Amino acid sequence: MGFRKLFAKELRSVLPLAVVFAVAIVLLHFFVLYKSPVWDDDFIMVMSLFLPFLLTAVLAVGAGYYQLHIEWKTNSIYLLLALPIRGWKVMTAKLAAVLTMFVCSVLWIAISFALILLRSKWDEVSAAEDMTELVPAMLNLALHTFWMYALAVLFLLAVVQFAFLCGQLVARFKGVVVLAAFLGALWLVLRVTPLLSQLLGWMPDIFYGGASDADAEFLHAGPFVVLFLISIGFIWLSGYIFEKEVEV
Amino acid sequence: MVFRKKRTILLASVAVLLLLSILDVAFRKEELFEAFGDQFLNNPRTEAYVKAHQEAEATAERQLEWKRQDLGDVKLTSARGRIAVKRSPDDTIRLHYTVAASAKDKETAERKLEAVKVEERTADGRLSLAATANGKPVDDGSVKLGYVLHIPGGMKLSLESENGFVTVDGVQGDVEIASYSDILELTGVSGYVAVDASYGSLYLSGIKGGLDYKNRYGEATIEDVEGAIALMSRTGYTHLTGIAGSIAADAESGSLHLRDTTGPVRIVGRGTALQLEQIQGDIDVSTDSGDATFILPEAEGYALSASAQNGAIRTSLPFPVEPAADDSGKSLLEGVIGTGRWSIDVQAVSADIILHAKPSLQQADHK
Repeated sequence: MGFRKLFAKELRSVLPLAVVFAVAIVLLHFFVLYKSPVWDDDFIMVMSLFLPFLLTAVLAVGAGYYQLHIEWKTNSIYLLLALPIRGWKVMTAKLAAVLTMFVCSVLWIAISFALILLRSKWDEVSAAEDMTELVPAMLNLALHTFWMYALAVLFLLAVVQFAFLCGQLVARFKGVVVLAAFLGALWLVLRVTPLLSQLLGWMPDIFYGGASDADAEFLHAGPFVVLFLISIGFIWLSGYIFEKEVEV
Repeated sequence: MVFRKKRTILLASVAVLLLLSILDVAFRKEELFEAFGDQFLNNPRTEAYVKAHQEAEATAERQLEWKRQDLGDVKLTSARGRIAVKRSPDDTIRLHYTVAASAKDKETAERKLEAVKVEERTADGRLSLAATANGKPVDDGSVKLGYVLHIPGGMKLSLESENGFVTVDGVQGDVEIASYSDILELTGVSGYVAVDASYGSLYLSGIKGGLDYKNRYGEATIEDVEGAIALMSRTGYTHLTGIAGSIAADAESGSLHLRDTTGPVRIVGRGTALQLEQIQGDIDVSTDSGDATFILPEAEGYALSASAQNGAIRTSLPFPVEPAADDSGKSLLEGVIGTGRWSIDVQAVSADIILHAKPSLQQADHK
């Protein structure tokens, strides 16, 4: 089974979760629309955007853990190990499937919000704000926030995969080892990233623009690149552990 | 063997990482996370950019006047503005307002400034005032408005304000305020005051005529009020001092502190910390999951009746705390302090009742 087939198989396995989540989001947005005359605008934003976005990341990380957990539980790990595919490719296929679900869910939330809630408030919003100035800034904010969020989820998925596989190195106290590996890996990244980022200080900055020039910020690109590379490193390490070390 | 050796090294590394992380967080605490967060923002470049792109500003001052005639009510609506309301020396309503518009260049700032005006509407004896820009409500962070409103005596004042700073001083007439996330100061008002405030910080003083106050997630200090007070508080923190009139309060979460009031007090609390001291009037308190503390001057005299279920009655007063005869698990206390002039009826569920006695001055001197 090649990488593409493996990816398709993993995508099919997360599809039911994605569909249920999508339906739940639409129902939530209709509920918020029903309550919108009574609720504050801030509360509406939290319920309709912030909470779903947070939940989609939590689900993605949970799905990443569950993907591996179910392989061991259903003994399909034997089949995976028998396949002539490198360990890092197996991990990448799983991760890619979950990330695809995550990206599609985020887009779904945005579309659902725009069609159900923003449409009913559009007149009010466009009356209160100068849209010609606001739209480019909002697009900038949205796109940058999206890829940063996706990077954070990618990183967490890579660490969760690594932690799970560390747990499989032992016969007992797997949960303790998983937790220890997760916390240890996170700490290592917290410590190492500022040092490595300094080496990439030459990289161009990211303009993270707000609605006015006073809200604009310049972000170093280096830390994001370091986080991405560390995530790749964890994926490779997970693949190595998967291939060579894991107890079945 | 190599297999097992590599596995051992991996597991040992995980253990070492965990140990180091615990030590690091224990000693460095939040420094570790601050260092991680600080690496992302290019502070010097951001500050230089903001400084170089400081916005041009245009300001204007304008004044509007109306003769009172058939008008009985003035309503002013504001978002992110400063409002000061005072009493007019004559029968003229005056609104003096300043507009400050900021933009990327002077020309755009001037254009924004010209677009802003206060629109007036008169209907059913009410003069309604609200700032608009090109016919749309002003809720733009780049436009700042400040109002000084002079209103004649005997007129009703209505204010709607968000994220602003509001002062009302010396007004003669009823006042109605709807406030969101404001700093609000209301002093020297002769009339009935109704305030509905969320997330605000309020100071109300010198009101003659009664007060209806709704407080959500805000703080309020209320003092020197003559007239009945009706209070509804949701996760609010309210202090009342020097009240001459009845007090009826419905409070959920937060705290309520009454001091030096004259008149009957009736409080229903849920999850609210209550403290009452030096109350000259009958007290009826019902509290659920919020402790009630009383400081009772002997000189006033109180007839006490307290009951607590799933809570304790704690006091140094010489009255016994007894279990209820009906085996309900309640603790009961009854007694008379001083002359027993005022009655105190306290019912607590899942909360404690704490009673302190304050000796009279003569006794205190004698001691």
